[in-house]
Amino acid sequence: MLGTVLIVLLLVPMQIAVIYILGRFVVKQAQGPLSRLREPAIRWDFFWLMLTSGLCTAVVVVLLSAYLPGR
Amino acid sequence: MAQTKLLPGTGAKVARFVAIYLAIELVPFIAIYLVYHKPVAALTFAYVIVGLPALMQIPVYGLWQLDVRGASPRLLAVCWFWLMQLMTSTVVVGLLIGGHKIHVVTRNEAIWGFAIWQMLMVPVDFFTGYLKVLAMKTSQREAS
Repeated sequence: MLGTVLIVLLLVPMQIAVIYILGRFVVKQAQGPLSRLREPAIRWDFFWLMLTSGLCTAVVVVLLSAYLPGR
Repeated sequence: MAQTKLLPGTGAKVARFVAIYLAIELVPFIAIYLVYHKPVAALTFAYVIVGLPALMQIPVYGLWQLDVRGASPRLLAVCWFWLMQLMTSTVVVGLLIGGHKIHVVTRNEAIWGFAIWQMLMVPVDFFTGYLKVLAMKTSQREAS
């Protein structure tokens, strides 16, 4: 219980913050294909692709844990 | 139609060739199934790994059609990302389920293995699938 609260309230926002700060630096410095991430439309594509593929992964994980035999 | 090269430099042509090859390879499995009315046990593992990606030739062909008909670079890039996602994740799920079936992989390892594989592969697919196709099609469009 305490572990879950700690993870949800502290660790997840911290990870998001670290990735955001590092990501800003990377995008600012980027040359080549990654530099396209400076355009807002491409950034939204990145956001939606990450979100939807993450949700698909979650669905597959739920299906695996429901239907794979064993404990 | 044939003179327009499909997404040059991304390996789309190779992917299409492999997909068609796999689909042809699927024929003996279907034939064995039709004759004996059950999948041959020794071939089930290979079928799970090889058979499912064979179906990917359909979206690859669809992507080729989109490119030929002048779809926007962003649409092509998004489609290419999902194609790569489908191909890599189906192969890995097939391997993990097959490995679990023959007791090489435990249940937990199969589930966590897939989750961690996806965490690594989704950004890779975004870079090689989305950004690369986007850059290529944009420069191609500016050149013409």
